[in-house]
Amino acid sequence: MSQATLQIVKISGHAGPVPGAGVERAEQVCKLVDTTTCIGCKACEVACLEWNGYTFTETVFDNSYQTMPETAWNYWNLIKFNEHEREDGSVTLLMRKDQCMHCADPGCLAACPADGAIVQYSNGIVDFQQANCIGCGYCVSGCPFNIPKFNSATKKMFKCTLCSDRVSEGLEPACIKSCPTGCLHFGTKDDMKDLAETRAKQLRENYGIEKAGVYDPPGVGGTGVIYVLHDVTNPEAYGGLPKDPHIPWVVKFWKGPAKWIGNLAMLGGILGVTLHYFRYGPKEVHSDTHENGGQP
Amino acid sequence: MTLQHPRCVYQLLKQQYSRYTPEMVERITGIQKDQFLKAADLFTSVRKDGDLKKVATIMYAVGWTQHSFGTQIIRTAAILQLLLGNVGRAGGGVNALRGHSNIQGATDMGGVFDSLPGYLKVPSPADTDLAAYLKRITPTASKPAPWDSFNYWSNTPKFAVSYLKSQFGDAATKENDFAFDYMPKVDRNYSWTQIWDNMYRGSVKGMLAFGMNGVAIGPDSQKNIDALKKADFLVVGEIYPDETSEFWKAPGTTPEEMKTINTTVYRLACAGFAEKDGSMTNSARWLQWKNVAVPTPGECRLDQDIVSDIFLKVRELYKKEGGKFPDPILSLTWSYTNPQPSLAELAKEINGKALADLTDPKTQQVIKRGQQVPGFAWLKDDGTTSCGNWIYSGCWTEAGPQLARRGTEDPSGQGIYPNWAWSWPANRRVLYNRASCDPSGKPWDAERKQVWWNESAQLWVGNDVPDFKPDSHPKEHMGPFIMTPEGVGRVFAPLGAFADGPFPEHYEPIESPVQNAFHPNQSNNPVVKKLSTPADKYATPGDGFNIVCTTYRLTEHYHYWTKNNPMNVQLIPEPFVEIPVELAQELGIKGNDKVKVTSARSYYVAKAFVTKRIKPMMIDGKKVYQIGLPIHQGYRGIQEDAGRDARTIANRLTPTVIDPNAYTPEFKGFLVKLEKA
Repeated sequence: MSQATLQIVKISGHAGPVPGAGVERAEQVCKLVDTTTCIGCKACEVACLEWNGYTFTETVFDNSYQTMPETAWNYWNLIKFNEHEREDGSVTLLMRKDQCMHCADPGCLAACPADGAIVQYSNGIVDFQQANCIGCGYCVSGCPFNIPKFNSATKKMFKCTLCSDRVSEGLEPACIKSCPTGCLHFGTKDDMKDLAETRAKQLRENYGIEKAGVYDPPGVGGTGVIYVLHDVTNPEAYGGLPKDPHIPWVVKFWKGPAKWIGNLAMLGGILGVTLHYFRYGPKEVHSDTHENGGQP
Repeated sequence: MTLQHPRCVYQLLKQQYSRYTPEMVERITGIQKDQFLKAADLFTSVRKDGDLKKVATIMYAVGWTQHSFGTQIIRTAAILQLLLGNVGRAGGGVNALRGHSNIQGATDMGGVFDSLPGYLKVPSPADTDLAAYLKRITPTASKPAPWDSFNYWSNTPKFAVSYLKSQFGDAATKENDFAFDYMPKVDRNYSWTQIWDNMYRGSVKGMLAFGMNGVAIGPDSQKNIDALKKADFLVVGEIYPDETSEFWKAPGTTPEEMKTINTTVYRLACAGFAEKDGSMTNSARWLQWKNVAVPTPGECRLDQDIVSDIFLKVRELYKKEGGKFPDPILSLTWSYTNPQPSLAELAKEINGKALADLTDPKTQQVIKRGQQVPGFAWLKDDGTTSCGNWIYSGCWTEAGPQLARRGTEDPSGQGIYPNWAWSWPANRRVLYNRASCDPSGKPWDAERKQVWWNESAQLWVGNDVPDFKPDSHPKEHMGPFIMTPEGVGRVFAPLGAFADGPFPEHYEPIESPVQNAFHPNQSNNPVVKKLSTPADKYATPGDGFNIVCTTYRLTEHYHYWTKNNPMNVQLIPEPFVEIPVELAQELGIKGNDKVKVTSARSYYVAKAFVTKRIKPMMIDGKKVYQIGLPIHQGYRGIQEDAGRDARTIANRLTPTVIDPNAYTPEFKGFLVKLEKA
């Protein structure tokens, strides 16, 4: 994978220096998904498969336009279809492109114990490095969006890379390129945020969609994928988009206080042993006892 | 104009539609009165307080056309847009959204039986010579008229003669009426459903089907399958084996019956869209050239090469063996670089060229013999020009292929993009754009000027190419609708313009669960004819068929084609029937249950998609259910071959009923029964 212009700023399970830790922060890249102009054609699903070299998956019709229930290790981009009854009784189809959200504060990375299996680049992309992945699945527990998926054949985790290979070469992600309605946009986080807010304002003021707004959850430090929703107060209606996602407390505790408690405990242990040595001297082994060893 | 005369169009219009009250709309359509009024208020609000700056558009697709009264629906839209002043204006108009990338091109090029390229009417047996033909098809300006008419169709003889020259070249001379006698004279309806009907009846003996899966397209697929069983031969040019080329394997055909089918089927491997160059015309009338992306695989050949070879072989046989009337075949111009012409060469032929040195009397500009003409204004009716399609004249000039242009500049900022591709006619982006100005020639919206009258130059100029007589001073009071003999838009359609009446009227589909609320004794379009073979059965609610069914396409699939592409198949793997929750509950149907849909013709089996999105309708106080099914699956494709669906075609259900003007089948409303399979 080309990483020509990608500088790593965060590494999972890593002690020691991070290559990009000291560099000036690069501009954050961002996908904007305007759910109000998505027609559910799934061209982005196909573009994602083709760019990433995945082939046919046998799917089953399940009383829905949705291709499969959830994203899969080899299916990273899925439009979630939800029939939604409005207050006036009319029905609309809410469609949301589901994929990795590329959190600024990625729970997967925090949860990952394998050195270098998950990295975050200076442009904000969170990427899995399968060569370093140990397949433990801890990233699943760290993700509030249910994104990392396990390939049982290779015992590795997979998810959307935000086309880090394309982005590093100055191209937009494959899904963005394929969108026929222009509901998908790609650019810097600041630009996308502006565009999204402008669109939401337009929906509120010109179309009377009063609850239109932008989904960019602060609980995970904001995301590298943001949505314009008709009803930002009810993101759950869009195929279970969490209202206020956070990195689970277990992961936070495990990687935060627990880690320091562990470190302290370990340090304490070493200290205790050293003090013991100075106080009582080396432990002596009686050779005859050892030789007999209780074994007749 | 006072608009007060009781027989004037305005008063007749008011009288006709005074019957269409919001209450009546609710009775007929089930759309609640307040909802209808909300929509009507919104659309007409563009002219609120006399504002003439705003524009509203109407966009439609086959949901409006696939009815036995489809043309009347489009006419209604046109009348509404004319009344609101939304025609000839950027962002206005009545816009057809096509289901295929080149449907507009097919129609422009005469891909229908009743028109030649450029919408020239096809000759009939009554046209005994060229003069009679031209007299019949060339309109004369209506006089007296409140507006003067440019009546641009008065140039028809130039376009028709140039077309004949493009077909028969040197064999078309003034003395022999430019070979008019070589043109086929169309004596009856040869539209899509009629061809199949004729084959079913045994008078059509064979078919060449290129890129067209006739069995799946329907209507009444089983009738089409049975028709092919009676044919002598079938040639299919395709990139996949399809339902048509394997019609004898249709479900329900027994091995014994298969042995009795004597149709010879020739399956020719053709090129896919990415393997061909050529142009496609979109519904904004832009001709856009594309290049070859990948070479044809294996033994596949380009469609045009195959068609050329068939023609050359037929011509050889005529040369050798003669025939009843070999002249049209032997005289057809075929002076291409290769025996199989390239599409670029054909595009140049369609644009037209000078066959003698031509001089413009006004500007003294000269076009040399053999040069491409710059546009249709140069075409002549004396045999000195050749042009395959007058409306496309200008697409490939001496300056090169205009249709391959890729200029992205938009100087006016109105989205005109005059240097992107090429738009017929004459690179005009908005038709009838004279109507974007007031009678004095000033744009209705000074901030978004399309064209205007330039007093000092004494010419119409603009950001777009004026669609008008360029030097007609506004004081001359020429009507903006230069293609009508009246010079004005046709709110009232004159006699002969349509098979139906002058104003659209509401009719129920041929198969409807209700009677027409206006005139129950004439519920359906009176000029629609039902077909009469044993396969043509039509249902009534009295027979137990009381659910309305409609068919449609999905964004995930392209007709009957992408069911061979794994990428599309995984998106929508199986056929389904969308059923309202309320109906599903009544019938005890749950989502994913297998259901059987039966019409008077045949049946269809698929999984149930129980949805809240299709609601029951209250039509004239009666609860009416509607179900819908996508058309994409059949009996040849990835999932079908794997035995994962019932291998039935949606169009087995649909009736052979057509709109009397466009001959479009009524796919959007017919009657069925629904049950658990």
